[in-house]
Amino acid sequence: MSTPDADRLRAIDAVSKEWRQGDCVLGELWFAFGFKPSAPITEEARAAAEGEAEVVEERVRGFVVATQTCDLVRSCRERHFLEVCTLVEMEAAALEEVRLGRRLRYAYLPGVASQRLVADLDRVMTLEKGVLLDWQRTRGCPRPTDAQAFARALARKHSRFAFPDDFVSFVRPLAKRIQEKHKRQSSEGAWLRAMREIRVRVAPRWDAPEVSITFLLLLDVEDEVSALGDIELLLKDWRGLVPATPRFISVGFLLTRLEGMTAMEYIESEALDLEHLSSAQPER
Amino acid sequence: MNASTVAELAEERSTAAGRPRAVRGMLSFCLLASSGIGLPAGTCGLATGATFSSQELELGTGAQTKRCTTAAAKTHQAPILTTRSAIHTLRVSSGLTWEQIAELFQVSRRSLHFWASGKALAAENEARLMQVLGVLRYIDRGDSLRTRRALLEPDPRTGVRAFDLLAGQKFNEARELLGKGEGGGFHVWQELSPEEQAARRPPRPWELLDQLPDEVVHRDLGISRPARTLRTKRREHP
Repeated sequence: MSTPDADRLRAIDAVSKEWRQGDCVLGELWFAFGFKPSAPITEEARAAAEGEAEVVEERVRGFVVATQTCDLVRSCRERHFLEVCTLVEMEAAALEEVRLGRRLRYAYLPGVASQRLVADLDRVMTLEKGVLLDWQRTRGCPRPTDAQAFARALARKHSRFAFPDDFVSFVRPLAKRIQEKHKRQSSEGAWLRAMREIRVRVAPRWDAPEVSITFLLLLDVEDEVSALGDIELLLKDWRGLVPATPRFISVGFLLTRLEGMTAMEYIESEALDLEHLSSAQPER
Repeated sequence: MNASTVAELAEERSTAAGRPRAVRGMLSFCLLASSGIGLPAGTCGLATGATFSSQELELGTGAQTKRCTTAAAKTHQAPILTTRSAIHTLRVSSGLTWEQIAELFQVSRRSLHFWASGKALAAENEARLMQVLGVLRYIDRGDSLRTRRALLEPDPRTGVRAFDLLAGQKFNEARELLGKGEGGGFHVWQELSPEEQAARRPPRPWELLDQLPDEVVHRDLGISRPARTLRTKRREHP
């Protein structure tokens, strides 16, 4: 296989240095994915299967670069590829849901939101960096905070903790209660709205035959014992929601603020993936 | 053996001669974990369904650690707590803030955080910690918030707070003031397994700097082919 000449590689490296994670290219572009001709899933794959193809290309509105900036700027001699996610168009209401972080499949890009475009994190494609020579760059993340939010969305897509099935069942009543009550004008609703995060710590480890669980409830309040109503009774109600499960021999609740947590407590615990719990299939 | 006797026994043992100084910093005692969830007050339920009506505290340090010998312990291996675990157990079971715990032991926040990170306790503080845990176990109101409220609210008749009695090392008086609680809220903060601890530690700076140069070191198969593709029109999205 012949290699590109040195001038072209230098040109690719020069243009790569201008791109950042979150930058977009708009226009008539094609997203390619493979499929099994005898078992196509999508409409596109079914159409392609009839034509005996094994890879289908789908027209998309554009791409957003998912590759980290530090890898983009490395020479194409060492790092040949970049990864992109497709840009998809949606209605205003759905766009707002993405902006609020309620649709984890998608990531909000302020730079292209005016065109109602978001990143579809489910569809990722790898390309050689040479494509950058022809692409017109559009900033999807104009501000550093936008870029950080996009990076978090990418990381979250692939790094959410896989809670064991029995834990998901165990905590489902609690998740349901939060979902039902957090908008209510009640002391419990106020308390839930003041909650910054729920973390869970399991010892000695998640797959031990018997585990001790501690729920760390992080509140955005000046004082943990604030004038939010009868938190003690609520906590007692909550404890009643958590069913006795043979493997979970001890369950505790620690109410604190972020400022009151030690770094070790944070490292040893996981954020409770409530959005997963709310969408998980119920037990049959 | 009731909690008072056990606490006194704990105090006696903690001041007895012969405890090896080499194992100080490893405060080990045996607490019987209570789930207390959905179970009648005063009992602890285990996976096997065994129940028992009394909980014992036994003090041990290092090689001298004795495991609980109640019938329940035969069916459930009680955890051995380190100093770090004991401090966190106190925190999660009492609902007290770090500042309040420091006040309880009349130490600085800094000292408390050293204890919470596993630093050795002085003998008198070890004994005190066990006494406090014993009282918490006894007065347990079912959850940490109610236990904290009980500790911090002045007694309506005398104006005395159980918290201040504990800070003054008047453990029996604190027990008498609050009486036995319904239980179920005392939660043992176990250590993570060593593998779990290691997996969660962030990489050290030198490990990050020790990363090898970015170059291709794998071996490709060297086989490729043009893909047979078909182009389709764009899908609609929500």
